[in-house]
Amino acid sequence: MKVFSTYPPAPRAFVDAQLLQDEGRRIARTMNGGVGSEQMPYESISADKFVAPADIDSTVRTTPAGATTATASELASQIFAITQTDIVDLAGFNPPDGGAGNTGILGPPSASYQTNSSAWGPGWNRLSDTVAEGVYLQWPARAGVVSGALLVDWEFYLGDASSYGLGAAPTGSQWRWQVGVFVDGVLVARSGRYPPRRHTVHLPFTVPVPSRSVVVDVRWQASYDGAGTSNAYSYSADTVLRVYNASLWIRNQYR
Amino acid sequence: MSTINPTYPAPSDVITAASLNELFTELKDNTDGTVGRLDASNLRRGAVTSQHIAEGIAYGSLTFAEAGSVTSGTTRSSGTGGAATSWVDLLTVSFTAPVAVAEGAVLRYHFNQLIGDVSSSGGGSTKAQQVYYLRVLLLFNDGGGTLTTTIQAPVGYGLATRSGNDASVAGSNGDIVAAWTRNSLSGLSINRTAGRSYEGVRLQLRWNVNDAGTANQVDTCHVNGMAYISTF
Repeated sequence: MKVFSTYPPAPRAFVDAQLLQDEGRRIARTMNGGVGSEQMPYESISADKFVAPADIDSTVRTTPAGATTATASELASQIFAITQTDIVDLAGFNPPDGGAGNTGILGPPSASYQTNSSAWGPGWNRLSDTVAEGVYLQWPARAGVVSGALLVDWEFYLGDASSYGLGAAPTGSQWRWQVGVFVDGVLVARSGRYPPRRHTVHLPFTVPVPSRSVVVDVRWQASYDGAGTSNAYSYSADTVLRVYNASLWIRNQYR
Repeated sequence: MSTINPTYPAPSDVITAASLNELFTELKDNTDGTVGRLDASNLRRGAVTSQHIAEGIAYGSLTFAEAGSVTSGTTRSSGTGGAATSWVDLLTVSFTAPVAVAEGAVLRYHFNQLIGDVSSSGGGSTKAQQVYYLRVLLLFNDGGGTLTTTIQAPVGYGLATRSGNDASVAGSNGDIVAAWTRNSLSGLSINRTAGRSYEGVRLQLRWNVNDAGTANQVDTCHVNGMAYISTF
């Protein structure tokens, strides 16, 4: 706030206390919430003048039930949070055929979905229903923009019946899967439908958010027309979808 | 909040040393740098603009690195017959000098690896073994030399798709789908340790153990990566 002199003393005038202090008081009162842009030189604020980052792990949910296993930091201008699974055992999983030497691959998976049971519905399915980390973030957002990315290692039938303990490979031509990122229930990014394979999807997204608790969660779809069926989304055959490591991070920038 | 509220003198009050100095004493006491005296509430709404932020900290420099060719690469082999495999380095994004990171500071990274030619061990082996993994390490220093920790656990990429996925395509080994594709990863790491310096991030590749007599192989071609540390 700029302060202008209002009492130019007249020559030979008496000096009294009111006159003496009034000018100074007006300047001093700017300190009471009136300090503005004019009082601060340009480029005067360095990084160490900002409030230190705060650990907000306990306020970030990583499951709908309220688990708080994310790592999150509230900085002066932005919030970062990340949730991720941690499958690191490269001798932790054996495919079902159990043959000699058929051991020692990364695992076990975070989740497995059988195609011959009601493991998934025809629409979008919440991955957080079965995976505890890496697929769900809920945090007290501040109005601004959220950007982030999903990284998820996904497998829908690699191509050899022996991988699944099958005598012969099932048939079908409409096997597809895709994953999507939803912010407060709105689809903001999706992989598109992949044919069956083992693949890691990297899915970046950016979306504006208001100041309230915001949920980012990962959902998936799959269709299958394997043995004995002709309809997509049937559960009557015999292979498996598997989810391995997943990682979901967000950056909520508000200034 | 520091509130400056000197006594309001009336006209014709006698000037004294105390009344004369009161205003300046309050100003001095409330702006002497003591924590809690001058705080955000002293600022007018909208007082701080982006022009007040010092040059170079709002958009700090990121560290970028790249290597390799877009037309050929280095062959990475699984070995055969259940041979042990190990992680190999694909690219390290090194900071020019170690960066001292405050607790709560955030490192962001991104890698993009081009996979070139691919060969698989064929239909006779388990396809679950025809998978290579990428992972990301953080290089840091707590004062005793460079250490590493995994900040992105392994994520897998299969060599082949299911044979006959397209009914018009025959074949028993599966169609190779990993060849000449980009594998991108991004993530972040939040520091929780006082006195830590970050030195860089590293992308690595490893194979599943392969029980076949023919090796699974990919050529790792061009790769680029970036790292950036946010402190406020």
